Amino acid sequence: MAKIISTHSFRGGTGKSNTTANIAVLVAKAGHRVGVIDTDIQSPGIHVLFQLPESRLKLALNDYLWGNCEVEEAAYDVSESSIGSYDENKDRPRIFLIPSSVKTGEISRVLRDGYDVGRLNDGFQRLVQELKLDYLFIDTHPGVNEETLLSIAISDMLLLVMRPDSQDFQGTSVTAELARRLEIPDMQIVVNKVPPGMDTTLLRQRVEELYQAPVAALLPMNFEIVRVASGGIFVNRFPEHPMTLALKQVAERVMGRA
Amino acid sequence: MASLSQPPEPITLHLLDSAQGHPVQTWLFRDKRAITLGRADDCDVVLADAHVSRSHASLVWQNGGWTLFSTGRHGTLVNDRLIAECPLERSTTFRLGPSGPVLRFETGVSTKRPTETIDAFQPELLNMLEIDRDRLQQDVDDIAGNALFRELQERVRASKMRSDEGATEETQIR
Repeated sequence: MAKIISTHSFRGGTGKSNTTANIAVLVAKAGHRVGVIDTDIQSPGIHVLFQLPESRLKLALNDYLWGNCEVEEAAYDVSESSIGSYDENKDRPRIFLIPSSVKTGEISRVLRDGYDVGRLNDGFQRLVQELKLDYLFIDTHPGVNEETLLSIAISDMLLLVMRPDSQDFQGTSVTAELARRLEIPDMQIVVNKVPPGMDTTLLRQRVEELYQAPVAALLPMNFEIVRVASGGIFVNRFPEHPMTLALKQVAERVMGRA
Repeated sequence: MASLSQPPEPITLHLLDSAQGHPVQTWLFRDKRAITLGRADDCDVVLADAHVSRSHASLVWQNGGWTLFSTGRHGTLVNDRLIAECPLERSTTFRLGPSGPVLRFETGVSTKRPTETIDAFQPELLNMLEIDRDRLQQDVDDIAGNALFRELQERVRASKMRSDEGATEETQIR
């Protein structure tokens, strides 16, 4: 049975998509079939990390939501660019990306007309089945809206990505409480962009005490990831970097090994 | 002219952080005469990066010195110029592909460690991190009181009950 993981941030700019993409790649590289779906329809971007050129983007999640195609037709196999070498005769590891459309007309259509959120739920289930996934990562839109709540409600695990600043602290507490009321089985926190000079032991204690949830990782403010951001997966380029090692710990938790 | 049996000079290869230029990963080679770099698992330096070819470049000890050969289709750059082969100085920086990772070649064995980002304490930075409990309660009540949220809660409960019943049935069958 597949495990569904939602990643969410209360505000934008936390590094949520980057964190999602890197953890998804690490889980795939551990020998699994992984799907990553970009439900941040209003500001899509994760396809850039997987180096999926916009010219290759024929169908997107938007087309499925409007009934123009099946959801698996909007899935792109990105194993070559994000796993590197793998045995094509074996069905694992593999990683698939279901991007949202980057066409401004289609983004504004979503904002104007909305879509049936129930169809999104059916799409998650169908993706797991059709692509024979072991893990499905849902990269959600920041803030709390209908599709965010739905994604949390159907997930086995919620990763809350936040920065150590007062606005993120307040906003994340709202999502955490709502997730608890939706009986999320496993909620963990990734604190990203921790500035140099912050005591990480005390920070971990403070976050775990305030949210009553475990901290999966404290990731340092990272200048390299900003540079790599537009061109690939950080953990591939810097396999021994302290940031990669911390992301590996999160991947282990996703796979239930830590 | 150096003889073929002359032992190769040990070298260090650093993968550099692209913004700051400090090493983030290091490989040491003491006895090898040819070192392969690429995305394939059997390379001596494996770089899983889409800008890197499976077999991208090689370093070969020849005529008493090290030479860099470009072997992949993405090209190899020294001083921002594509090269097919290039004899290397004591310290040479090169890039695999026009947008790929940057490496520094050095003769000799370096013992420098990658830089850690977090290295000092400033406890006062944590004092600003608080939650306003009253505001939290109000925000959560606003959202949780919404019909959509209650419907989601119902659905979660119903689906949990179904899976619990399924598990019970399964146990009885056994």
